[in-house]
Amino acid sequence: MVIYVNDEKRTVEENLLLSNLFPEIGINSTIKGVAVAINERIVMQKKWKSTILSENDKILIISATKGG
Amino acid sequence: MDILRIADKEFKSRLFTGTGKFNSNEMMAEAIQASGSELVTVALKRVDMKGNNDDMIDHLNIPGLNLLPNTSGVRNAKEAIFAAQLAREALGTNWLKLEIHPDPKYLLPDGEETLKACYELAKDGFVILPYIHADPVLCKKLEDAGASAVMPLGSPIGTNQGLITRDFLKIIIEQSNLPVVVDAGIGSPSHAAEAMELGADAVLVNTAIAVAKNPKQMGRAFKMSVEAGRIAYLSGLAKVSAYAEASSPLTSFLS
Repeated sequence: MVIYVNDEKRTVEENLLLSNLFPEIGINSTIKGVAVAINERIVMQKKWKSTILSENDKILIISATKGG
Repeated sequence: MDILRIADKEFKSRLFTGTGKFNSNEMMAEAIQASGSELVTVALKRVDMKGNNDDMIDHLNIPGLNLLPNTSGVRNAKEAIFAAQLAREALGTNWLKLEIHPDPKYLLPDGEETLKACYELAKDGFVILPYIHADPVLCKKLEDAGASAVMPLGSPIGTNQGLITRDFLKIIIEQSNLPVVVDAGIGSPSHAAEAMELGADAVLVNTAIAVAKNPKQMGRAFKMSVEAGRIAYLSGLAKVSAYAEASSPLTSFLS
């Protein structure tokens, strides 16, 4: 199925768990300070393992960076 | 040094710092430690899909250091609220530097959108430090909107021009029931000392430390200037006068 991760189109297996998305798209799973939103709704970290992705989901993954 | 209280936290240091523009994470950590800062800003970005994500957050694991995520990059209140919620989830803190500056040339804050966002975020339990113009009226409105401090600018972000808003900062400090943190444009330790002498509760410095030839040493210089400025303010500065007033006796002892 097709999903959009940070606006990038990706084809992933059906019923992929959000927690399994990180390795799938090449993001280091130990990365700290990360938040995820699906279709503009934030998914709390404790729900990453139980959230199943759907076709055309728009996933936003952000992390902390340097700034003033 | 007297303790600064903002919301639920107490600070021994009145120097807040940023994490932008340092040449390396190691240099950033060293400079922050030398500055004695207990509150540092961090920004948010989309993660790099190729895995090139830096480990800056690990370098901020300094005892006594608190994170202050900012909303830099948002253009309006709606985006700021979403960014704030993402920041809270990512970093596990409800502290927020609320900044909405849609204009890329001068990065001047949008007061109307900031006020709107402040009302909403306060209801959601955020500790909000809004970055704003040195606008005394807006500062009072933000107080009503539930801000925990106000952060008026000295001059535009990263310009190092110092306190070009000095006279308005004085009015804000006089009127505010919240801590006043002078943010943006502080380019040298003397600017920081000037803000503290005016009675600011704290200053936020990023560029001036980060781009110094020796950021660690500059961090220390700012630490000293903020302390000096605060102590001077508490000690009561002498009045400025147009005419000379002799400090020595003017008796003509030679004739």
